[in-house]
Amino acid sequence: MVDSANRGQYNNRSYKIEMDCSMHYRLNKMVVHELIDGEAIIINLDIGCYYNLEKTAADIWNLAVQGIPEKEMIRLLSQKNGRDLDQIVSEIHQFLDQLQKEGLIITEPSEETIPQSKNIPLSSSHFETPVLNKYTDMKEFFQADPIHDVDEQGWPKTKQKTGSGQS
Amino acid sequence: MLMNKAGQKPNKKLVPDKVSISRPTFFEACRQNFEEAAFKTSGIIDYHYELVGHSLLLRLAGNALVPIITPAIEHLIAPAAILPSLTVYLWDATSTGITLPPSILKKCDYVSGDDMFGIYSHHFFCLFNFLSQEVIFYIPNDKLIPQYQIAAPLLTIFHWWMREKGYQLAHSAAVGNQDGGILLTGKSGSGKSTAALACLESPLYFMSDDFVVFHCEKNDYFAETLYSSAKLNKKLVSRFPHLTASMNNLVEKKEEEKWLLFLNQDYKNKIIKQFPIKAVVVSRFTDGQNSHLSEISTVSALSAMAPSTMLQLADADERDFENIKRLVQSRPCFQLETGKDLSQIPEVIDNLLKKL
Repeated sequence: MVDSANRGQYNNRSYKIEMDCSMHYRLNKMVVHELIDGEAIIINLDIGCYYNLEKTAADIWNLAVQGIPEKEMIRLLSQKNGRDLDQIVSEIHQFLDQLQKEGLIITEPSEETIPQSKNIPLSSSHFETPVLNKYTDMKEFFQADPIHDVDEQGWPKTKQKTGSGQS
Repeated sequence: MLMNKAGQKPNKKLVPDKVSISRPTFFEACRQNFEEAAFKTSGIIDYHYELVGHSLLLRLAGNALVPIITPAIEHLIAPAAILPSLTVYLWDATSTGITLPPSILKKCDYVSGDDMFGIYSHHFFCLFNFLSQEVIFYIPNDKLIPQYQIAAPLLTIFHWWMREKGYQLAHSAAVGNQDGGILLTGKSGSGKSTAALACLESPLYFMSDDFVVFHCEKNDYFAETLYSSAKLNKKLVSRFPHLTASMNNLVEKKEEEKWLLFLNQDYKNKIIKQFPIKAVVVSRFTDGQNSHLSEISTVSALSAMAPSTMLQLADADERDFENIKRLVQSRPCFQLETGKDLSQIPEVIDNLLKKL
């Protein structure tokens, strides 16, 4: 549990956090994933890379793909021992940013109805610096760089450039 | 307007030069081009196969694609079916001078719809018509087809076709016997082929060195043969003296690191077409002498099999991931560390199968 001083710090900084963390996330439609035994396996079918997440990183992933806003993630994960709040806020934010840059999740403004987070199990017993293990060894075998968006006639649309990409 | 090699104009009615044509019209235009390609060469050559109980007819325009498409699936040859489950029309531009009809398609494009799905990959174009169960398969330049596509021809078509029928492709070698076998998975270079080829001179049978089909029947999983080709790292040739008898069957591409073998010609009786899957095994080369097995987690096995399968299959999606996950979760998973003494590999696998 985070100590009372940290809780006060969290409350005092709530305005700033709200400004930074009022977004929630959803899965990129070209990504498939699975969480087994506290580990996440993620495959990005857009760019031919795959990823492995463990412990806190897997927890953040699980929360993100279930639409939990960043602010709520911070609240949940700061209840675990391991880091002071500033560090937790910073590391969660950086990690989510990394997931976005890899094109794994897409950010959206939070809706009024926030998904219930109380039933989402967290696998890590304490907060650890989240690490994104990325594997690119399949890229040479990757079938194509497909354009999946098609028009109403079923013909391909020109791919729109997005800000996402590889790190 | 597109001109063929002979300088003749293609059929104007079915090959419009505007891009607003419908998919069925484009498909029909492709089939007309196939027929024109056949007319330009030695005619249509038909090959009949059976895959997991479903009949397949390949119709090749001329013989240029025969050595590219047919050797790896020779073991699937079957009597001609009156009504094939799937018919594939194949031609190449190099030998026939006939290209695809005009469209907005360019390389790396997908065509997607309820009735059809297609991809214009770096080396081929295919368009699967799910309503008529027909496929257009076009190769711009047969000389540029990489070795791995000769080892595993029509992989995209088989992936879509099998998925439609309720089967799943997996990037795995497979060895075993009638009572059961293992899927041996792992990325390229992890030793799948080496382990599978090492079983040729053992009591075990060879099913695949690269891709298999699997399916679930009443909670039992079965593996089915797909290709009877194998790739052997050139550095390892001296460790497989029994394969020197197959040297005439090797297709060499100097730039490739591996030899390509078509095992149906010399090891026909060692190819097994189906077995129950007893375990999922992840292969890994080691510098040691001995080979041994150790249990691994479901996550480790899924991490090995799912990405290497899905990233090699066009339009793989969550259905493929789910199928692979269910298989891996239902079977015990092991890691096979293969040592330099290749004769130990089949022994280790055989001992595992006897325990399961």
